[in-house]
Amino acid sequence: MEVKLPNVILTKLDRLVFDKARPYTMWPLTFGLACCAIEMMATGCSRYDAFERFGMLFRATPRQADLMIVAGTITKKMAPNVRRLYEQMPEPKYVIAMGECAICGGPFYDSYSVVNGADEIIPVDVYVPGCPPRPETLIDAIVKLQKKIKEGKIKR
Amino acid sequence: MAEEKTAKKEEKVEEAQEVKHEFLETLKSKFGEKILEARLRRPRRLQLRIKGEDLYPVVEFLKSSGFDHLSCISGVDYEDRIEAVYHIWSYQRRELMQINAELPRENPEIASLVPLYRAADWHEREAYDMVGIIFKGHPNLKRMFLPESFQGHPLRKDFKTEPMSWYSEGEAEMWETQVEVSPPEEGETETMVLNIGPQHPSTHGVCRLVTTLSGETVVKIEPVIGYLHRGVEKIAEKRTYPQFLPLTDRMDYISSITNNLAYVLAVEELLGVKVPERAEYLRVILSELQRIANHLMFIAAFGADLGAWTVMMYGFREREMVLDLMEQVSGQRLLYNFLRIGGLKEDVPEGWVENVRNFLRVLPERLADYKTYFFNNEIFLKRCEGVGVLEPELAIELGVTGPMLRASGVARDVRRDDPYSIYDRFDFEVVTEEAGDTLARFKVRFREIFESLNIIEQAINDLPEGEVRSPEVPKVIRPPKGEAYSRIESPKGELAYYIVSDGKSPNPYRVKIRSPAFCNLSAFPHYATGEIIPDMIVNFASVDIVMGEIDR
Repeated sequence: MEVKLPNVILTKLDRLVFDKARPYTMWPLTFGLACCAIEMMATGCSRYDAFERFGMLFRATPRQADLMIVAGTITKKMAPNVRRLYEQMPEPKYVIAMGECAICGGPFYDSYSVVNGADEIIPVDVYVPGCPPRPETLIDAIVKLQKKIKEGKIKR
Repeated sequence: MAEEKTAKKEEKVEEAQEVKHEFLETLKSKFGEKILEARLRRPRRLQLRIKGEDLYPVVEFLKSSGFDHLSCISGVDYEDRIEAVYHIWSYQRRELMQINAELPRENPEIASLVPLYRAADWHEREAYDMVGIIFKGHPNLKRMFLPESFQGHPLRKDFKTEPMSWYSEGEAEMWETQVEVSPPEEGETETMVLNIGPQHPSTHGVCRLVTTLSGETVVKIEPVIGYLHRGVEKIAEKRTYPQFLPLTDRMDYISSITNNLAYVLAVEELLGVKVPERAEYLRVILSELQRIANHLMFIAAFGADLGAWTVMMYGFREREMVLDLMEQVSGQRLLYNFLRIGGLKEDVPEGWVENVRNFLRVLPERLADYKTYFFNNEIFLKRCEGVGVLEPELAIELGVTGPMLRASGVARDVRRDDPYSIYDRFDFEVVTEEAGDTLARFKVRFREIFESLNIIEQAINDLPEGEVRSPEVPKVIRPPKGEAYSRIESPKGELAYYIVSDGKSPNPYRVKIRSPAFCNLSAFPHYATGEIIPDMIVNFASVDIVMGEIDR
């Protein structure tokens, strides 16, 4: 006997409900590496005041955070720590690589102690170009990430 | 008026030259054969060349004749020998002595200067790390930036770097930094080790403080730095002189114009180029604006560390005004790269001077709010007053410079003591506070903002017309063989670039950066131990560090 279920869609709860909510409560880790961190702070402070308008609240511990903004040069000495911080963050988690250094090593690409890009050690969702990127660029990146999460384009 | 001033200046220079010659003669007669070369490079710059083994007695004599501030220790690898280069400034004589001590390349050993200057501690560790000079008698000769397991010394000429180096998993193990903490001796109370950083909101970047606590009291602090060591000094050897300029911005990224200025001054000294008047004035205006931005950033971050988030918002609001002015001239918000060897990139846009005047009017009004916010705020005062007192004698011995030294009541400022650019034409006060505590360090920076406004106003009123870039500068910059050491007063203290040119190549042979925050941070453990742990965060914030400049 054939069972017929009219008007039924099968999906995951995660996909249907949480992915719609997650973009509006991303909690980034308070984590600055170099120059870009200053622009990241400026994005959150007066004039731009971007983070709290997006429901973003900086958390000082990786265990409460689900977004990592890699703002600055990752050196080889720092790389194990960046990796560990990423691993300490609970799933689902997202990464924004902010600035040239986090994309590809930037102006320090031929140094003996610089990792050429955050994606060598952790998966990156959105890349933000600039040295350093302007706050508007970072806001754009956040919007792009929100869109990506809503559309379910992030593979886990 | 201007003529009178220049005439006076020339007189001074002549007088000074005689005195200097006299001192060099004394040195020659005292040490005889040991002095290989003694000369006056330019006014206020003396140079000695000696053999490595004679260093200690010579420096001992220098210290007894008034050379009290060890500015910098660097190592240079000339393929046939290694030179340890010492820069020692005398606040009484107002002269800088550069000592080049020659060492054999196979076994570069030299006496440590730690018994004479305590500032030598970190400088020597850095020189050991980067060039591999072994300082005999150093109490704790470990690598400064790189991990102990690192092979080779990066600034040796035979240390080859890959054009693109990929990161492998095996490397992670090598770069992982372990700090050994000695267990308490018998009879001591048990202590606890608290590791703060490298990821911590109050370490202003990626500084790591391994702190030993006994109860709530801090017993020992060991700063572990190098988490932002980008190898800038090595990169400099692969770039041409103008190509290296953007990298200087990224050193102290909160005050990039001053970093530009120090580098550009050193190259101009090598080339012997004179900068047009208008460019000189604009440089002064820009660096003072930068100082204001830096101090506002300090106030903001200091507030955030104390838990006063409103202050953070206030500080950034005012800082944005400076950034707007900078953006109008350079097109960038943070890293301007606006100065050029021989002048500026271009003239300032029309109406910019009016905007600066407007800023000069608005900022004091806004800062009046700060006064009530801080100095009438009991919580703020209670947390800062009497915390982390740095004694003036200790501060001088540790090589502390800038607002931190002035907060201990020592009126020393490179802008006044060793004037560069055209700072000798302006009338300004060297701000000092007597207390030496965290509050004094805060007050000095706060009051310096007003002094900077004062300098900007004078500079704007005298701003001449004309070109902003010297036509003497050649297209391909190949300075003649020589060395230059340019010191400036950056917002954090004495910033200096030591550049060696070999006379043939368009790349610098060696660039060494004396960063103010590096030396100021080395003083931090001395005054923060013995106090309780919540005060340590305040003490640390009052140093005003930027890791990019410390680790380079």
